[in-house]
Amino acid sequence: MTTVIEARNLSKAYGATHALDGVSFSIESGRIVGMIGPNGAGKTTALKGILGLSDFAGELTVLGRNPRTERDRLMQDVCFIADVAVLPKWIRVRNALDYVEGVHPRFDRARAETFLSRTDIRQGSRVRELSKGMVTQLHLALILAIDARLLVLDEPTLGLDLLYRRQFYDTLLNDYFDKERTILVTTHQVEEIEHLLTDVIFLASGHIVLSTTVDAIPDRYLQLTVGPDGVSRARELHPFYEREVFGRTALFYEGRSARELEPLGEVRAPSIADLFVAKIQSLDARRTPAGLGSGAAPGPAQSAPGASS
Amino acid sequence: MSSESAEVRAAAAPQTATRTTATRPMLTLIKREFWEHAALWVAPLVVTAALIIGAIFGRAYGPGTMPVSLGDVPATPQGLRAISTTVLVMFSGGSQYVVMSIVLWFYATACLYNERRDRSILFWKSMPVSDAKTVISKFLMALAVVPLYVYVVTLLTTLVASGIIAIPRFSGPGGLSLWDGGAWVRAEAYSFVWLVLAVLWYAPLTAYLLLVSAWARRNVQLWALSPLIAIIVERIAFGTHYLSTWILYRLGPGWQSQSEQWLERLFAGPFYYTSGGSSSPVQLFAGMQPLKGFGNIDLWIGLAVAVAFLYAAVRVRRYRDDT
Repeated sequence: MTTVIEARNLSKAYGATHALDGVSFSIESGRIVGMIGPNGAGKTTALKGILGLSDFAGELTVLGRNPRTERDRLMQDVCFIADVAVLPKWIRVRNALDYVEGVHPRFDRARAETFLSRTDIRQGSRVRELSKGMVTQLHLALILAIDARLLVLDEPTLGLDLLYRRQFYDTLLNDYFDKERTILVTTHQVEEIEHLLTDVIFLASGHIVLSTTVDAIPDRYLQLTVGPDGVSRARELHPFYEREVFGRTALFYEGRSARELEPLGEVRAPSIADLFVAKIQSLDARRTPAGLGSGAAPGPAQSAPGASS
Repeated sequence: MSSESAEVRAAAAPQTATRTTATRPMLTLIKREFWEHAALWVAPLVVTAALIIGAIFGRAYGPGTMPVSLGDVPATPQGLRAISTTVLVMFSGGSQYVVMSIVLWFYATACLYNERRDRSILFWKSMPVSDAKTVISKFLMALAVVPLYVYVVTLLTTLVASGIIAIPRFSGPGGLSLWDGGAWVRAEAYSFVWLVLAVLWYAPLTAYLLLVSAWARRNVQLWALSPLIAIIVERIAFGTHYLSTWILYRLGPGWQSQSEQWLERLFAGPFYYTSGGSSSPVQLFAGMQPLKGFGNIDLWIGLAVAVAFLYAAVRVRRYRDDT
């Protein structure tokens, strides 16, 4: 395994707001990393830095190159889909293939055409005539036919219906991903991709809240669900977040063993989506003690682990 | 599906060796411009169609017999043929290049602006094409590709139109042919040199428009015209007109050498040529030395300025982040 992205102390401010505030992480090859955070957390800023699209402070190496100074060369090994809107409306499908074939040394036209033949997209159509879902399919067809080492996806399925979203990720996983490749994806729809992620990075307000492999989550975080009478005992073990669901309470713990919690109720590893909400809400609650709804229970201060995956 | 199964599947996937295929980036970028800006190749064809229709009507309803004089001057058949051929070339070229200038103005102001407005710049930037290559491809379009294309279209147009007007309306000795091959070759050669000079002379303007196109957040046309606003401000605030003198010089036909005044000759029409007494193709271009235009130092200073504008446009496209 080699390190694909190494970021140290990334910072970027737009005026007075810090989009990124000293963020460090590293991403290994052959991983599917989800960068997850609320709006304005700094996800897109981080991706733009990785892709050499905007400037930033700090050190960043992508595939051994500096995206600030070597972005043209870097783009031979990196693909990205910014979001569904970026394919030019006027281009014909055929010409889009011509274009990528003409400029990208790692593009395999036959592969893209095979993929397109499985869709309803006709090569003579212009992008403006395609539905949003078809535009994404086209973009995906172009990207999948490029033999790149790093694929960066920024909200790739925004505004698509469920069928297209599901198809998008299935194709990505079945036709594209392998041990040599790395996928970095940001999305709001955590539930939809959590089954395919190998790593997650939670970002909030320009900071990393959590950076871990998915496999390591059950060792570190547990979710305990108890009835109304078990809540006070469960709280004694210092959950960092709790929330009520249908009269039962879900409490989230860091660094507790299942053995400690099992006598109190039902214990399981939290889903990534639940863990994300718990982490972000507990942060917000600590920042504004009045809290949000059920808020966070007082617990041990959270370190913001900058540990790499 | 769990992450484990994803990994199993990934392990089973065949290892792909890194493929590399030959690419032709600059040619592709040039083609790309024609796909996006169809006016670049359609407009000259429209002008050609209009010119040919004009020639057909002219032949059908124009003079069927040879005039005996032009103004006060007796006309010789050879002189008439030379004049009519030259005027045909000049008129076709004139119409084509006026339309081309307008089309290129809108092309240059749009080409780096539209991609930001519709965010497609993020797609272009996801390809291994440098900002320098992109900007240069657009500059080359305006500087060489489109002018050359228009030149060739115009040349073919004059051939077709000549063929039409060369058809005698009446058979027999009274029939009129207005075609002179020698004059045609000469007129085409001269207009080529003038075209090259004009394109180079206006290169800083083209590069300026590209820079505005890469830079303006909105109202790109307004920014493109901002020097004209500066002229008005100068007039009102300082009562001077250095700026306007200078800008008008750069916008004017500064690329033709002083002795030529060929625009004047063209617009004065055949009478100008014949007023000297005789009208031969040699006299038509007498005293003209189009190659002298290359000796104008201002042309080369302008090119240096154009390079500076281009460099700025590349930097702006590279580092601007407003998507």
